[in-house]
Amino acid sequence: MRGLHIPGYSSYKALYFLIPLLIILPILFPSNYMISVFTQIGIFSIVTLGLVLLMGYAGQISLGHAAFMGIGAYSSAILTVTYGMPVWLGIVLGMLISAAIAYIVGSQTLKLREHFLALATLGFNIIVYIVLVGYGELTKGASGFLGIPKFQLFGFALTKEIHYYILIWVIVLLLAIISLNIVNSHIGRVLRGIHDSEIATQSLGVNIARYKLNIFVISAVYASLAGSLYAHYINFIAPATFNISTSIELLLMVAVGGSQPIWGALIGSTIVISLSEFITPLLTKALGAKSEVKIVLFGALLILVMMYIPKGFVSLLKYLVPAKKQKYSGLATTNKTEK
Amino acid sequence: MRKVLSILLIALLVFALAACGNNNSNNSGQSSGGTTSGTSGGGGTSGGSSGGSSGNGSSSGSGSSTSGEPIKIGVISAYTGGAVGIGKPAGDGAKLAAKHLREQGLNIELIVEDYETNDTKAVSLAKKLISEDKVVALAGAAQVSTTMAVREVALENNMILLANPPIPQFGDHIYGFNQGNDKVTQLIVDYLKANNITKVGWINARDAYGQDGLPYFEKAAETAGIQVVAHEEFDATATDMTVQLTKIRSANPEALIVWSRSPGAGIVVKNFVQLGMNIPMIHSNAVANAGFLEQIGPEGAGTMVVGDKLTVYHDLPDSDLRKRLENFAKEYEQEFGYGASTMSMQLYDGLMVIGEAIKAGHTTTEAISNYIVNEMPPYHGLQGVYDFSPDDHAPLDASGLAIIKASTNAKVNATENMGWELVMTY
Amino acid sequence: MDTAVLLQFIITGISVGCVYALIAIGFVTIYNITGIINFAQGEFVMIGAMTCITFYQMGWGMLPSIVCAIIVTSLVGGVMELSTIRPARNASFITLLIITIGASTLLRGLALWIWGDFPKALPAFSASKPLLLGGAVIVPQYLWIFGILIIMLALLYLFFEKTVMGAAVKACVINPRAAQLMGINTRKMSTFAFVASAAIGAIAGIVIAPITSGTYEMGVLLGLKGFVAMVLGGMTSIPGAVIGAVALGLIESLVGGYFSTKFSDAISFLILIITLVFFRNSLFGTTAGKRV
Repeated sequence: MRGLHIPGYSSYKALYFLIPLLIILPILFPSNYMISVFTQIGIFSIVTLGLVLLMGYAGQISLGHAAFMGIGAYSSAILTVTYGMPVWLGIVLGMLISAAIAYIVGSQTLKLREHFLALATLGFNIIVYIVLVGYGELTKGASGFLGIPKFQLFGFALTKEIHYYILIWVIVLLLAIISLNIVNSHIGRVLRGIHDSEIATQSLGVNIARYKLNIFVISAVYASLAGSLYAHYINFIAPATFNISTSIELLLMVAVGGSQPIWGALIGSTIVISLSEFITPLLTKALGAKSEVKIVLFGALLILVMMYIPKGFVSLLKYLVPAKKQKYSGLATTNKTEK
Repeated sequence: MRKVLSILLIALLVFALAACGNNNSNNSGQSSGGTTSGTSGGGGTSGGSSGGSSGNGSSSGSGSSTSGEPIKIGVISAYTGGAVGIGKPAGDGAKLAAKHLREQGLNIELIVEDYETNDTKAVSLAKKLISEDKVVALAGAAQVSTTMAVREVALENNMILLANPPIPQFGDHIYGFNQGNDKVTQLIVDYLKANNITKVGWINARDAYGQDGLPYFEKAAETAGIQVVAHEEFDATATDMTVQLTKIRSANPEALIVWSRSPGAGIVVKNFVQLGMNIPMIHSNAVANAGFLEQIGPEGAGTMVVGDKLTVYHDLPDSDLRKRLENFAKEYEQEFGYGASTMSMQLYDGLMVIGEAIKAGHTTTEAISNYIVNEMPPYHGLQGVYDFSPDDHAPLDASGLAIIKASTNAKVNATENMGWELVMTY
Repeated sequence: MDTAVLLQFIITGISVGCVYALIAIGFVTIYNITGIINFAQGEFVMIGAMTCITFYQMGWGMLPSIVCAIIVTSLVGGVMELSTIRPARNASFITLLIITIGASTLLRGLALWIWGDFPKALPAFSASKPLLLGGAVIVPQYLWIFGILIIMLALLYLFFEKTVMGAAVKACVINPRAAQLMGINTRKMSTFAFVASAAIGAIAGIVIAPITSGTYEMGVLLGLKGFVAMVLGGMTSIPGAVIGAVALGLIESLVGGYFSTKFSDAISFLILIITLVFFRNSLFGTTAGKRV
């Protein structure tokens, strides 16, 4: 193994920084709008936390993950509004449905090589979108589904922006811890091996198909959860939100943020959403240009980041870490978790 | 270590929830004065904790427009993405209205935002306009689904929303500036009746806009004894609709109705002509613009569209309305470089209504809204007459609607060699 | 079944399939030579169409407009390769893929900026009166498309089989390292691939524009369909891509015609995925740029 540090090891240390940041932000920026942006970042972070496992560790591309968000969102919407189920049940069932669909889809398509998988996930997204639009009796079609109830737990309904901020970010942190556990464990090493070389890993007797499938399902469940939360937060969903352009945006987030360590997921969603919400209006006003600016900017950003920081912004974090990492040089020992 | 973290998280959750009440009053303290949008504090309060918002609920007193401060109105429209054909004219119409109001001495500041045909972004922009820009009213948002989403935000914040697409539901402070698809489809039905047509084919784009028309049409058609004998859909970005038209043709309808935005609608026309179909074809009001004419070209002459008196003012008898429409059309084209269309009038009328309220001395959301439903006399806008009341938030009558057709010898050309001709109006 | 209707569906399917085929060829060309899937291929199609329309509307004749549009688009392709792909030549497959997605977004944004959002029309190449064949209608422009497709296939065949340059390209595809040892400049090949694909894409856009009008977004769905056709055809084979494209067009047309236009796209993609799963697993070969 290489000298400096265990590849793929994600540190818990970031939490020391992240939790205080999350507490301070709504105090510094108390307006409804800013909090809603942070919440939005949180929702997308839930999805990206699953995607970095899939793309960064298992090395599989998904160009259609918004479809799972859509499945979660619509499951929640339909189950709570049309069938009157409680919110939590709708979410859980949505996750189960997504897991089942992911299992079926994944077991067939994960056998395929990179570009085939990309195309298959793309096709899956399109199919889900068309079904959402076409099956109007259930989904209310392209005009969207109104009247989704607010998030409720034990009879306590969340009605304020700050409620959702807290709810979403607590979930993000919990999922981050789960992802960290996966990544820093034996499973994580196997995934890393699959990413680097499938054949080599296979020759060690590992059933790579099973690992890939499980991670795919997990990432789908994360996305489904995010979709359900989105539905109860905005109280309105439409198929267009879960189409390919959102999948590409997710891809963008993972690419720009990076996948190792997994904190890249949060960095990626923060950068992309901030760009859209904050930088573009600034530039539009500064340059007096029109909104086409954003599309051009996104494209340029994507290209530049991929060319010069291909491992994402998170890879720049290592420059913040002092040379203490040197103590892992030489043969790698068993993966030390922080204690 | 993990245990510690989990405990930390739970503690955080408890602390935060407890601090919620605190947050609320903190926020209301920090939000700068003059916010007329009710609860800019702790967040959306529909049913819930309205108690917490009482701090700044009494906003009618803290008006934002004294002589110095401008009255801000936020416009959310689509300047990019698939809804741009409807969104851009709507936004530009609002801009022209703001200009006219300023010429009349009112201190209006218009903030126009592009939601990029992305519903989530529209909701985000609505929140920004309310809590950061402190607008007095919102206007928009081009698509029905988007406007319904924005409407949720408006309702939560007791904000005025001037809605330009034909949304199905309104509510407190929500006002409509569209005749509504019921009246548009009724006009089509009236045309069909006048021409003794009883069987029609229907084709629409498979998106939110396209799917919106048929339910209204079916209702109106049923009463008139008209039957839809074929119904096909196409992907809004597809490049060939021959299959759908062939299927429709096999059912032998006497007319075809098309419900789609550009460029899909234009491609339908091309395929229609290529297949040699020559039954009457009527499109929805999404394409009553010069871009459509340019796309279909002279071969498309004869295509009918639900438009408005604005587009065919040159075919109207002399009247006050005709002069107003003519002036509007000319000034609009000069200001923005392209021809005005139906959507251009919607938010123009909307802003003008707000202007009326401001002229009557009202400058806060509550007061303006109250004036509109309770005190304002029927307003004669470009699209027709609006008589708002507490029971009717979308009172626009059908007088402004017209069936128009693309023609190569119109009195006024909208493109190099094509213009619109009036066919039928109320 | 009414034969005129069936015939119409078949003719439409094949016509639309030819359109996809032209686009698919561009995808295959780049993939073969560089191992990259170029998500901006659809934008080459769009740029070809829009520049041709612009030149034509400026008063140039049809032929000069077409030629200049092809040249301009080829330049765009070349610039894209030189500025974004070549520096990142050794990056991973995913990275390169995302770079092309970025380029696609960038080009679309620029197109919106330059040309705005109204669709723009280009007149058909010849008289637009449709021909009748057994009760079904053929639009002459589609005959042009078919003809140009055939000519392009012939030219490509001649190029690969009969010219030295073509042989060099083939060598790059089969084994880049060996090709380099033979003195073939693989980096120049990469640029050539993009320039050629851009030109092919431009031609596709120009012949399609009279039918669909040009918009800044026209490349998105068309690019996707071309990509699907390429995969159906085996990724590396031009004739395969053409067959895949026509098959896709036919499937769409027949499914839409006899089943439901509501779900025809979904069914086409479903068929695609099923094909991928059951027939492609053993057929991917190692080509240039593939890592094991």
